[in-house]
Amino acid sequence: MSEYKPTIGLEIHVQLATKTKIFCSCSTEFGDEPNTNVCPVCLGLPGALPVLNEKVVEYAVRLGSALNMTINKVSTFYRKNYFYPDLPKGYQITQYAIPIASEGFLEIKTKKGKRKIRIQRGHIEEDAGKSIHTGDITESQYSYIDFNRSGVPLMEIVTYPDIETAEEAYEFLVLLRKTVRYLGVSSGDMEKGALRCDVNVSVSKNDKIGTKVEIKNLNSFKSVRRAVEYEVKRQIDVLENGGSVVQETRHLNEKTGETVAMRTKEELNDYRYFPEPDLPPLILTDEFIEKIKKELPELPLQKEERFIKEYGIKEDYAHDIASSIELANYFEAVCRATKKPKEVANFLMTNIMKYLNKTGKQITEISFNEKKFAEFLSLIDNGTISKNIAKEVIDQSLETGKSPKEIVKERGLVQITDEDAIKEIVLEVLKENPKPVSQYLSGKTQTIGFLIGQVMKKTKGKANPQIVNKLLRNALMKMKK
Amino acid sequence: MIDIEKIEHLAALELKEGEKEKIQKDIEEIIHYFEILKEVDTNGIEPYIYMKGAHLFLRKDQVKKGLDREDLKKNRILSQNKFYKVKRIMGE
Ligand SMILES: [Zn+2]
Repeated sequence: MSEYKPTIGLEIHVQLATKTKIFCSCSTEFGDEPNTNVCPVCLGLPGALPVLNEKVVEYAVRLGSALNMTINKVSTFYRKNYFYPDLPKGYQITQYAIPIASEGFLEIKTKKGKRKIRIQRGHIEEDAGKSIHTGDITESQYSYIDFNRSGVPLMEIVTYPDIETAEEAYEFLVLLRKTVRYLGVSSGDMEKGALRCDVNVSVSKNDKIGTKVEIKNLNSFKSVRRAVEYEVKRQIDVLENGGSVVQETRHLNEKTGETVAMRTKEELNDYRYFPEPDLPPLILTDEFIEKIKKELPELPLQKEERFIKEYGIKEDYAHDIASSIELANYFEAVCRATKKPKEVANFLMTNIMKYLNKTGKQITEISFNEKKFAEFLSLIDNGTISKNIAKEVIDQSLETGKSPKEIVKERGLVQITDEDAIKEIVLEVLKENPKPVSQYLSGKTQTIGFLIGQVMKKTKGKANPQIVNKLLRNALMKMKK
Repeated sequence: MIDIEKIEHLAALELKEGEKEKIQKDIEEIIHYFEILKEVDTNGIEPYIYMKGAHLFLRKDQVKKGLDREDLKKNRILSQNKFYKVKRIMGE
């Protein structure tokens, strides 16, 4: 079987995190009582007029700029016409001829290295209402519509078909989500529908692009990866068996992981776009665009690379820390307070992450702040606690909210560095373990590990390991003579 | 020739047999007017889409309470006192 090359493009709807809807002052709050955030505009009542939310413009320019796109100084609104119960006006106001942003790219990192995925356009539009089906979908006679979502602002990002694997599609989405969160323009929560993805997939053996299949409404990162994997395989199978791929819309069956053709008349749709007469073109000034560009924060990949260079931390740590703006901010605050980035990264990615995963807490919710972190690291530095005990101290401090010093005092965890005290225990251990001792003396020197372990056990891990090692060797040396 | 069946589908209408021919004729006449307009030479003239001088008014992102659900209930068919009830949607 010769090589098929998959060609994948994404269309991603990003819900913009404004307080109010795109064309009216209704709240966008997620999860409010159904049909309580509605007005004549978002219900499509006769005579209601849309007025564009300035924050939507700002967020769209911010996102467009972060995706290296050209911001169009003039963009236009259109009506996209179709009938669906969740679309009360019978049309969606969107941008068609000239979107607010066009021609950009996002650079992703994959196992094979960096890849630029080009972005064709980014336009702003309104979301539709939400259909709710009660009971069994095949039996219920009715659907129920909640219009709270009707008119929530979206920015649709359309990529060129530059993506070649499910893994790249996944990476693109993950990075896009990080980016919108860094920018503060969207929550990026796929499970709340704040990020929704349609995927176009085709396969071909040559340079000619194959027949395109669209997979709609993917609502998790995993679904995107599964859908692409399945669809690529399916299309290759069809072609290998002498068939041809049908241009159609499919959806992913979350249970089986298969894509299934949708039996709707959607293909018959012709949206009959025409200019929205209620909204003149949106005109942006150079000053406005430049101001937003200047205020763009550092983006995920830039931050990751800076962390490696500036702090000398491991690449995978840098990647994980920079994956969330909150985590990154915490890391930098602690580094400023402690000047010990490597230790901070270590404890952050092990003990603290474990604690966050266990409790479901966010980094911003823990009381182990940069002050406590600094106190904690100084306890290790000045030899008060051993590295072993340190883990217990940080875990306890996270758990109880008490300061590291308090924990050490309360639990008597101070490292034993008193040589006389340790010597006493060393002699005890030697006496109690004649067999390993004689093994050591007859040349099996690795038994010293066991003896060190015994001393640590007796001191509950509090003895300074270097001192234990030194004293044991000295004592054994004497016995040899 | 216009495809009356396609227009029927797009407009979500169900036309009776007699109506189909009548409406087809009407629409074709309307479209014919545009054919007449096409005779005007518009080369080099920008399409007139928006009112000259009309500018887009932007709104601050501040929440205002919209319509009261109780009022909506009086005017619409609400189910379970909070949703809009529609004929079952297939697909999805
Ligand atoms: Zn509204």
